[in-house]
Amino acid sequence: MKKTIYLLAILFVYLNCEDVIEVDIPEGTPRLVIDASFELYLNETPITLEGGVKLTLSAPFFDTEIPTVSNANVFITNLKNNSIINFTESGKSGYYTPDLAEFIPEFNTTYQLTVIYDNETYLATAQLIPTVPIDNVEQGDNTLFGGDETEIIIYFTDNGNRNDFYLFDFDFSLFLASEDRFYQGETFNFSYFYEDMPNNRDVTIKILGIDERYYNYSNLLIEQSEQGRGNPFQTPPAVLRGNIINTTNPSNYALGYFNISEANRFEFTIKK
Amino acid sequence: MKKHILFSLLLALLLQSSVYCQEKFTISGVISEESSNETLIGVNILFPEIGKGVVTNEYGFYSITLPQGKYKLQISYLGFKDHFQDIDLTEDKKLNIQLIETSEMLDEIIITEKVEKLNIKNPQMSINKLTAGTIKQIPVVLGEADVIKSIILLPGVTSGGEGASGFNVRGGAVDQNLILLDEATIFNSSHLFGFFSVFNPDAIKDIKLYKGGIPARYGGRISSVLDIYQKEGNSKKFEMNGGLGAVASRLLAEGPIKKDKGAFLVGGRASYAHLFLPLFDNDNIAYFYDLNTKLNYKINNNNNIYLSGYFGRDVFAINKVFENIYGNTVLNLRWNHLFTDKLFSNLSLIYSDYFYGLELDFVGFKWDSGIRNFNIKYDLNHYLSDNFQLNYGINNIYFRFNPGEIRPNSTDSGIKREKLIDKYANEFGVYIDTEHKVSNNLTLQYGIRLSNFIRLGQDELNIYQEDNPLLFNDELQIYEAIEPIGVQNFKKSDPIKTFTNIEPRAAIAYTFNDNTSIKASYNRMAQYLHLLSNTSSPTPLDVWTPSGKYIKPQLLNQYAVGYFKSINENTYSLETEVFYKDIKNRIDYIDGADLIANNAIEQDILNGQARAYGLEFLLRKNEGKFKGWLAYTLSKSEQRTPGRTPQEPGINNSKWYNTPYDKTHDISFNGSYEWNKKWKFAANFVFQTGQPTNYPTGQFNYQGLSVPLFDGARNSERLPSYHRMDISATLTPRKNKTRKWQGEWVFSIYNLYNRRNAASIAFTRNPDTLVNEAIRTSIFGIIPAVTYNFKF
Repeated sequence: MKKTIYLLAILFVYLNCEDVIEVDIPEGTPRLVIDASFELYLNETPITLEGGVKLTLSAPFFDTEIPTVSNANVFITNLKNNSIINFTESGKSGYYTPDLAEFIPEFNTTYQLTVIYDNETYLATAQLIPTVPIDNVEQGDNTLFGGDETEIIIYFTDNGNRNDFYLFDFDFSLFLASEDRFYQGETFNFSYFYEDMPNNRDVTIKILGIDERYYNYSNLLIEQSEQGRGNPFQTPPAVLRGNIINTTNPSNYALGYFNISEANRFEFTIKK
Repeated sequence: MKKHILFSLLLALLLQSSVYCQEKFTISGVISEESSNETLIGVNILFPEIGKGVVTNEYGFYSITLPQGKYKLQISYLGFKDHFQDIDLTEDKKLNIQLIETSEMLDEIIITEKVEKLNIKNPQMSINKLTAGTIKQIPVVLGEADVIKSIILLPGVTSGGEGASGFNVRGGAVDQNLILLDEATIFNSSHLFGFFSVFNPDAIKDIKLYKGGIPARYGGRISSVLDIYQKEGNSKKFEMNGGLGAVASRLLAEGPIKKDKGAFLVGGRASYAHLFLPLFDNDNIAYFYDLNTKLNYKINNNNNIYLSGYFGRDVFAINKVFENIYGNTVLNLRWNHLFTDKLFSNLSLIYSDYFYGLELDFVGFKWDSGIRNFNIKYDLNHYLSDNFQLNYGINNIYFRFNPGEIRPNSTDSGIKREKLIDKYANEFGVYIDTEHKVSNNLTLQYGIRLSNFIRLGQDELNIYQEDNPLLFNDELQIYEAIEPIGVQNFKKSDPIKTFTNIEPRAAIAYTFNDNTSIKASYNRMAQYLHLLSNTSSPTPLDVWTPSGKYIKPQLLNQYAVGYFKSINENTYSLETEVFYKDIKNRIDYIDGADLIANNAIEQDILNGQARAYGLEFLLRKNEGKFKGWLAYTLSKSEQRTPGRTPQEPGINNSKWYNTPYDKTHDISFNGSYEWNKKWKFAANFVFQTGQPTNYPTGQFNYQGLSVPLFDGARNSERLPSYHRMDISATLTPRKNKTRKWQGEWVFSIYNLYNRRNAASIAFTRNPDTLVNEAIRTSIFGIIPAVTYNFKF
């Protein structure tokens, strides 16, 4: 439903003009950012787990460089059997991946992420959240305002036995969070509009199962990032607190989230 | 017990006044316009020799009781020729008087010293009046005269800028304004997100804005009362007027149903479709229209009936994927009855509703919401003596809230119908208010209102463990909803929650001499309805919700003191006021609250308080070729939403923060200059401190998103200052004088020096360069417009 406000906003934005201005902004202290979202593809053979733990620091807003964090200790504990999966920095700076190639999270199991950085310990827990398959993706011919949007229609069938929250990933860091409140157990479809999409562009559309807390977090995140741009009906921006706790020094909290989702994906080629 | 106090007060007042009632006679009647029989509001009826006088009420009625004797009577009203008459008062007299407009003569408007003397003495402070004439002279965007854009030029009144709905009075929220159109409540005062207001300036007779010292007859909103009366219609001759503008056109017809007895008025206004979206050649439309109708009939000298209606809609449709319709409907039947020549009554039966409808084809759903109310009001004006007037009455409003219904828009939509639970409430008020001249120097106005609000039974009211719908997660430092432990069903007749408040109001005016007075006022008010909105400016889909088990009524105390002076025989007048107000139970929303289609709003709100204080200054030039005013307001408006326990941070760590409508400095200038009979010029200048906002303190990356980080104090930064200048020139062709068709051209330029005032600043990453930027959104640059107004 938040989308509605955006639509009003988009309509509004077309009435006016935008320009880039210089603004003096305050500078906060750098915080650790833990980007640890895992996608488990159970319907693919072989079953694959994608994702890792990306450690960065927050930076002044207009900086172009985001510092990465290399000297951290990262591991995940399976709290059911207390087994530990160690993560090490591999290839990319600040990007930690499991040492064990066959780390496959299981349902109804709590996993705890531990990051030790700068003598402070950060903890977060997550469980694997189920999702549903994408039934189909089609290209439509509707447009919204400017006429150069590309419509795609996503079909999926909600599971009627549980309250679901989904995160759709449309590639290019475009996300949409959705809850099944208005389509519980239904075969449902909705349209998504890409802007300025070239012909023959391949896109991967994913549906992730998430919990309510991550749903709320994602909504805030999407709203506060570039997707909410130029919205005159702004809500006061929130302090984005994820699920990570600094157990050594709680006030020096970390940003980011630890999430484990079951996911499904659909490859699609845009035709103009 | 509370009622007891009220009745004893009433009794005491009646007894007191009856002492004076000997050897006295009453003059009463109606003051109207000679050309149309349109009654006039706020006309001064004066007896200069004895320094007594009275003012006509909202229906043009006046009554004054004086000792037997011979008097000189003088009737004055801005824009009309003074009326003088000798009166030999030996019996009760009915005196209906018709005034002649000065514009029909060639003289300058004359306002005598005596007229203002009365205003200087009137304890009513913090009030601004505008006539339709003044509003039409003020240059506004796209050349359309506009009520709300005009009142924003007054001290103590601001808005969020272009494209922000509504207005803010003395640091109050938009939903704290009671907007009355012919006594009916209007829930949304804006067309097209605030570009226009819903009031057709051609259909309007009189506007009053009460910012403080609000009389006891008003209740239900705590910041201000905008009381608008529509014209009744010309019962002498058929007349049409209208205008052709750059974005909208209007036409208004009025005329007698039966000469001198009854009249009708029908006015319509519509903007052109494709108004703002002409650049794209697809099926986008955006327009509004409204219709004002009024019938009045004078049954006899003691009875008048009025039937008035308003219907307005905004329509947006985008390429068949998005359709949005919303607007107000008002129907109103009023009956004026004169019991005696001292006791005037008005009974109003009012139906009003606000409808919001939305269809989103790309998700396959339709959404309807609204609020509906039935209002009965009975108000009496009792003119007991020349120095004592009582106003009393009752008011009952029944509300039905439809917070929303979602339906599939076609058979292949997967959307399931969901009806958010309807809510019902009843608001009752009874009041008594006095205007009491204690001596020639001291006038009092005091009264009391008893308000009672019952949240009536509904289905499926959420019940929570220990009545607590919101949990503070200490570990993650976030607020989270608690699932209800069950629901409770109530019968419609069963109250869920009842609130009763006593709202005393008092004002005093002390005049030092004919030109100088000081005034002070206090008012306590309660507001039982709340507009759920956590955006910087309300959107049309914000939903009104009643107080109840989880939301308490907002309670206000306001204190104001003022100094009033008329200078140089009232060529100039100076009004200065200071005010302080505090508000209990002002709610705010937890981070990330989604208020749309929310069936359990209690899970997203925290209770808090608000306060505002300031200084207002208004210098007016009331006569001459050059007229106008300069207003300056220095003010502060802030709120606090503490945690419920010491461990909880509440909002902004329980510290005070600026409200989104806190404007430290607000300067407005409005001036008009009559160069000759042909040309008239007008100009506005507005300066406002930038709206409070939030700037990021940093950025971080998550899942490929670049996210600005906000962890500074809430609303501690500001948008750049808002200022602009508008000018207009009105050309009245000379040949008008000799013909029936009266035409006039209005040329205007809005935002003369093309200031790009920021409506918002977005902090975001440029998708092409991947560099973070601050992007200013501004709405209107320089806008020239031509409007042609006509009358025949």
